[in-house]
Amino acid sequence: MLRKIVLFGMLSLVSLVIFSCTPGSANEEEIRIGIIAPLTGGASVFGVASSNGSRLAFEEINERGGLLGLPVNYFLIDDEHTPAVSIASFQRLVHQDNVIAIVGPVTSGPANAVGAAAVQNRLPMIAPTATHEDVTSFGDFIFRACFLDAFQAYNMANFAYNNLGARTAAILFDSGMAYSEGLAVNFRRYFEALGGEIVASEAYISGAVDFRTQLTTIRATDADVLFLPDYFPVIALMAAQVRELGVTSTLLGADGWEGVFNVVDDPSILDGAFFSAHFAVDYPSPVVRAFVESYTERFDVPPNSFAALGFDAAGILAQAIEEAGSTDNEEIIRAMQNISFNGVTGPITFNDRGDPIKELMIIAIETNDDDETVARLYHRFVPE
Amino acid sequence: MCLQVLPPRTSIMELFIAQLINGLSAGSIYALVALGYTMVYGIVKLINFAHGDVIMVGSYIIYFLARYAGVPFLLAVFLAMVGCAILGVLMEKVAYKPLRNATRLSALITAIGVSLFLQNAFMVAFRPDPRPFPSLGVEGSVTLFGDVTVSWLAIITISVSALMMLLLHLFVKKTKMGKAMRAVSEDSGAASLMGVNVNNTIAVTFAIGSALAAVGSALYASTFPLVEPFMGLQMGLTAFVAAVLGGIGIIPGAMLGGLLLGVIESLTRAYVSTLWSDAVVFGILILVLLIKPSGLLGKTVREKV
Repeated sequence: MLRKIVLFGMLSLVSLVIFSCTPGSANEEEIRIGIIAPLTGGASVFGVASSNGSRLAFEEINERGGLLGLPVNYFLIDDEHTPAVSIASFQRLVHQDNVIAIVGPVTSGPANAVGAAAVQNRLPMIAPTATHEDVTSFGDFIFRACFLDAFQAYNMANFAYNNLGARTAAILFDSGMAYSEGLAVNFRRYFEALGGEIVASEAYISGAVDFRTQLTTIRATDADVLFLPDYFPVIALMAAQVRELGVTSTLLGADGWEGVFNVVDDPSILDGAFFSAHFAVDYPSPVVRAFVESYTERFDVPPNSFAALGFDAAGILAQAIEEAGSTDNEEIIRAMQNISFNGVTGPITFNDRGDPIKELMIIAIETNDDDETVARLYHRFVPE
Repeated sequence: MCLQVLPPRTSIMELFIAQLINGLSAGSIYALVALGYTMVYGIVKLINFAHGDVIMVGSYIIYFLARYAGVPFLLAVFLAMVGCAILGVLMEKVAYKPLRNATRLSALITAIGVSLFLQNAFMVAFRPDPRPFPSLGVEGSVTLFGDVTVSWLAIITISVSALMMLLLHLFVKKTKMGKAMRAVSEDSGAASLMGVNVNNTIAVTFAIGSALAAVGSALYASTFPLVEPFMGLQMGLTAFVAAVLGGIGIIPGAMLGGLLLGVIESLTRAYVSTLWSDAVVFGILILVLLIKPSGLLGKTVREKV
């Protein structure tokens, strides 16, 4: 008898667990959207900015009356910049919070993990800033708001050759980092295809601080431009050594340069350099002016590219839901594929892969009339 | 913006000399830091793994004083020397002194513990974000001959290191405290019997080594101007290798080891491969230790029975 009671108890416990895990019916009173971002860990700086951008977008949408007449309720989950945690966050958003779409993950590693895990669910997903090539390769339900690294390298080579008139280029890159090496390889390929010559291609290992040997070799080639595809802390070190050694090539960089002013004591050492970016605060558009103002007011710091891409990713999803006129996932995916979105990072449409066709900004670092070193939107590459 | 222009076809010889100067500039910083390892090892037979982190602390002190308190750079360096000297003595009193008669392994592990403690304490206190080190304001360069130029920063780095090493050499050879240090290094028991205050002598050694590290941090961070909690790790390891290469425990050995290491690194990057420089450096270390285990300037001491 006792055994039967225990068995019954266990069975009811098991069924309780099973039933509580079953996805509930979609909530009819609100639009539920998940945001996955690294709020702690090594990529928290990116995750906080990106998710702040997305939150701001949804808050503004609610102020304007929500989507399909319903308020948006977002569920923000920290993936700690770890693929395993991001999958768990995804499962929770799907099964517990019953979200209909996801903005995120922010970084490429977790984005790839979630993409692979989300294939059965076919939940519309848009990664704001994951630049790795594979991110959108898991199915037509995954999109991203940012351009890819090869596109950056292509445009930077184009800018060097056609806008600056450079014919010789040198490259200094981190051979142990996919981001840096990928940009270096592609820059070389495109610059040579245009008819330019790579006169020096020097590598270093991750964590290096002394680049003077490589820069001395590069100085001797007298290259027109020097491409430095790395993140801003490394650029701060390189800029000081470029100045010390008197290298005269024009410095070129990529989106990893954003934030470099925070880590140089004297920004004038970067005077004359150019780098590619997703977003420019001085972009000539009322949408950007309004975004910069409201973001700065809400979070007390001006928005960067991550914030802008988080804002646009959320905006794209919201517009797709509105255009689909429904919360059905296939309808939203179809609306995303055909979207024409006017974002703060420029106008966006999607190709077959779910990668955006959009503008690339070239930012110039220069000295203004008040003798201050400033970054300014110098040129835009507009897709044909 | 441009300070000097090398003509496109710099001769092979000129390029070689330029790379040599790069190596000497880096090597003189290694030498200065290696002195700290070697002095402490010479006197208490302890490899003070936290020595690299003293450089990190020194850089933070200079950064905060110069950037937020408006202290002039040189005064900030002096205050960092005082601060690091106090830190060195404190480290010795708290972590190493209680273990002075313990096995070498326990002391070594304690040193690693102190190193991890400093790194993580600074990470928690000041966040891991890199910060811009105040620039020395020294720019431009001098033309030696032909097209060979040396930046003022490199000249200052090399001459300040040389001056510090000379002062240390004079201190150890000419002063009473220096004599006491040599005595304790040779035989602390006997020195103690001769009336040398061993505890004080060891404390002074830590203080001097750490103050030199503070000068090292000023030179290092002026050349590589980012301050972050883990900046001392790689620097400390390289300087330690320099000390072992030259013969750990021997002051001129640290100088030679440091300079040699800097030059080998630079020339390997320039003429072999940028990716092989660490492998070559450690390969040479292994070779030296195989042929002459006590280091380049080390003397093999026979134990008398």
